[in-house]
Amino acid sequence: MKKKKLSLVFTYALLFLVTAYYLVPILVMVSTSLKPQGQVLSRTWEWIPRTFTVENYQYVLQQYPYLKWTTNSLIVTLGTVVLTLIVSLPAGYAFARLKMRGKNILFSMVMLTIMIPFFAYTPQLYLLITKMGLKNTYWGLILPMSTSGVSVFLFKQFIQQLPLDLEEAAVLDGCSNWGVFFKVILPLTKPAIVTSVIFTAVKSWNNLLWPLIASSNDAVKTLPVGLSVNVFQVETGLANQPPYGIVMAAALLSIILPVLLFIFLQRYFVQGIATTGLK
Amino acid sequence: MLKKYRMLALLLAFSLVFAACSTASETAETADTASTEVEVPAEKTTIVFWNGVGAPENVVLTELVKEYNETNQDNVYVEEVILDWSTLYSKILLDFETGTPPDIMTIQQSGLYQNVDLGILADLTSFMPEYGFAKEDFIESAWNGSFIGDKQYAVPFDLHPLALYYNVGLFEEAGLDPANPPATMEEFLNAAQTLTKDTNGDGTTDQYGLGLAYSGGLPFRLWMSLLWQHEGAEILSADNTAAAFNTDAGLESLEFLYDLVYTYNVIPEQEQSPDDDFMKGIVGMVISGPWSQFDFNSVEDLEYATAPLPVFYDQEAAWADSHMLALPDTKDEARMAAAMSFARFLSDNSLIWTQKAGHLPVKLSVLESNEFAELEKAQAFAVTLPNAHYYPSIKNESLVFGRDSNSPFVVLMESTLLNSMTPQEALNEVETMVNELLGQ
Amino acid sequence: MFSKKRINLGSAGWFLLPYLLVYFIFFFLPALSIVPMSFTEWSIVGTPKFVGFENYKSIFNDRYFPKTLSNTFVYTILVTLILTILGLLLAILLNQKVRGRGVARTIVIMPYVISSAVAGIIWRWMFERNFGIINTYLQQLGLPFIGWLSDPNIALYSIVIMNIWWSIGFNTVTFLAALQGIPEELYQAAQVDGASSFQSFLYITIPQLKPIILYVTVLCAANSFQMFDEAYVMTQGGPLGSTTTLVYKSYIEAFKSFRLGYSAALSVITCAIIIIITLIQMKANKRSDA
Repeated sequence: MKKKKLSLVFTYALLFLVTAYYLVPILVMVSTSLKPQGQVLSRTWEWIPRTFTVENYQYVLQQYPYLKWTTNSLIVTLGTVVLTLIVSLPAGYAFARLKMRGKNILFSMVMLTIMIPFFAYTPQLYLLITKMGLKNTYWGLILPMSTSGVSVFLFKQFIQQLPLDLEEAAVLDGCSNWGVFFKVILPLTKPAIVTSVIFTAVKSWNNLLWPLIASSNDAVKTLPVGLSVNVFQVETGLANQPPYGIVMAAALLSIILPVLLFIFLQRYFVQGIATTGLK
Repeated sequence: MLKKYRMLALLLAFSLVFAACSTASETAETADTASTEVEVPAEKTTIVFWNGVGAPENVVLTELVKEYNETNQDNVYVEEVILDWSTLYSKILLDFETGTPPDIMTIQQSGLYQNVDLGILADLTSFMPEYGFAKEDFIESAWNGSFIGDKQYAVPFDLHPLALYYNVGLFEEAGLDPANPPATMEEFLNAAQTLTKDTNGDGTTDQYGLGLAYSGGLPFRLWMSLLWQHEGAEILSADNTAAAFNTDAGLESLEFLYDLVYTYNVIPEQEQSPDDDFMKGIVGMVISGPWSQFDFNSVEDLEYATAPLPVFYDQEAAWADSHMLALPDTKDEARMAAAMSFARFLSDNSLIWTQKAGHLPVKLSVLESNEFAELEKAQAFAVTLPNAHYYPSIKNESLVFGRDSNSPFVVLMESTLLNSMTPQEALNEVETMVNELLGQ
Repeated sequence: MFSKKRINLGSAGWFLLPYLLVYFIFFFLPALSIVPMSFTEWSIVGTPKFVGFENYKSIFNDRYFPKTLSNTFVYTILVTLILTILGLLLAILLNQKVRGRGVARTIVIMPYVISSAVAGIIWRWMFERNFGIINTYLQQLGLPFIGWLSDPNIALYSIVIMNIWWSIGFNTVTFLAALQGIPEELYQAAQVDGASSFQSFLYITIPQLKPIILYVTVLCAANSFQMFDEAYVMTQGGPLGSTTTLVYKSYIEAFKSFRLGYSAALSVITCAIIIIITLIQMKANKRSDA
């Protein structure tokens, strides 16, 4: 009994330390965002703002079409996530289970997406997109971002280690490949799907380089582009220092949705949900 | 599967709720989205304008665009696209290549040569008199800066030189007279040393005379200013094919900056954000361009003033760059005419640009106006205008005068100010680098 | 054993088709062009000029190249090791059935959700040498200032610290998901047999997680080898080139100096090295299966 209590205390202590480490910079952000511009740069750092104010948030929301940018980001992120799942899940299954000639070569080619820096081919991609008439459109933002092999790789690894019994049973019952895929594999792959949704969504939400080049028009401007170009110049610490209060307010506003998404999804990480299918 | 749809449905619901809540704030929006919501009458010529001046000044141009669209008699509608400089310089090349460049864009004087060399910009020499732009109306350096060879490629819009900012409160506290800012080497050193002290008696210096970063663009622009203050000194040879800065003048200027940090100790070591330090009251002076006023103005209890860059050596000189307006060479006469009309409008309203964005005007009429005289802090910069120096105009400007850690002049300043090479060693090394780059 | 022979080429093809379609059009064709481009000189406008191996020669003759290479390798090795091990440990910690773990998970994930630009700004600000937050507290403890981002010997490691804060969410989420896939029965059986929790960890958790561990290390290595954002926002490759990585240099050459041929050559080299690193990892993984 004592051993169990000690390990529990230890666990709680560790948890506390870890969350403290991760929380501190976030607290810095929150504190800064609530300070009026004139007090952000005081000689000694103040955790509690001398004067609480929401003027930074008001500024960001009113001076800029913040919600339009957010909507654009939402559309692009949603589109990217959905398209990624649609193309990556079957591909992951194919690489994990199905036999075909040249599978390894094909998989290596998929892995190339992780190994070539994106900006290395940005100019060519941009020229291609323009020729296809996709410049300044949502599809122009979604399609190139759905080529990442990260999800394919994840699904392959995950499906590979699923026990084969269920698939065998389904095949013996007369299921086709697609039947096995939909009825057996998909339900079991839920944690991986959730993982893929999270990081595809986050990557798309924060993506700056491609939307910056491919769609700077107001109509499809996404949040990171709007923030970095209209609100503050992240460029480099050269001529302009960013207005920290506004930066932090804008940043905190922009992470609300992704954080909500994660809070909503993380309860799927409950032990046993993947194995219920076996019973 | 059903669970997946439920997730998507919930996400959709979230976004709908979010969008619904936005209607209240949307009505409070400013001109930023006007370009996508206004109805454009069919007869108007629509032109695309790239506003690359960056935050926070870009809102001033946006307001001017809106005013133009509402009041102009030229039958022109301007569609504005807001970018930052980096994106603008890359995207202009890409869009020119695909045949979809904008009709008019902001450009810096330092970026002019490169873009002209690539054939991107239209020759405006014949347009200028047509639209009322004459040499006599402009500051000489700005007017000349818009020429490459004997052809003119841009409409000068502003000039932003370096000047001295100083903290009035700290000056008074230190017994210095804020009405007489340092104007010579001795005065400057005196002020810097007086300002450097230990304010809370704990044995460590916590207030310094000057703030100067060790990297980025500003340190080497300051060094160049000091170099140019020596009579006859130049960065590059007359034909811009070789480095010419590894001279006594170059060495003296560099050693001075080194000494400020390590001998006189008036600059904090390894300083990264001098503007931040100035705003926090850690440093009493900082050398920067007009753009810093935005931030400085927002700080409570910061009382500051500006002064021309002190004359450290033989003559006045200060580094400067300019914003200009250029037209990509679309060869579409109607649209180029429309773009020039818009340029004319912007130029006529450059006082507003100065008042709200702080950059110096280049038109003599504005400089001599009463409204300009009222802008207290701008006067220091205006004094410097006749002695403002641009970078030499070269083809690979972005390579040679780049601002990241691998660029030659950044290497020069970093090595010196971080004490990893002696000033002479640094000059030798960078001379080699620059000559290599120029040879390409 | 279960025979997969009855699945024919066409069938697998249908599963792969959607992905391959998007892949070929929007990735493969543009990406492949960096190889021919690396043998040219091109500034986006006009036709590329063929220069043979000039770019590669310039790269290897550049006196700063060895440093850039070593920066990249040091960073990659450190980050991959730390992020993998820490990510796994964190995932296990966050998988314990304790109250408040949902909150803890969210907090640990939150940095990952913040864009690299904002994360970079925060940390650059905290790392400020003169009177930045961290150094201010150090000073109060009587310790000297540390030039987190301004000392050429430390800057790279400071970026590692920032990166751990920022990216660990990815690994933790992935490992958490993988942990769910381990049947509870295995642990119960082990407990019945009298195994300690450490033994369970070694003999159940790790083997079960092997495919995912490979996934995480491959991705980590590939990603950290391509480190760019942090250097761009926090240090601009400095001080004195101590935080310049291959990709950072490649980016600057492409979009600041407009030497796309040279930049492409750097990208080709980067990609080649990553391929080699990945192959090594996969081989090692296969070897340990035996």
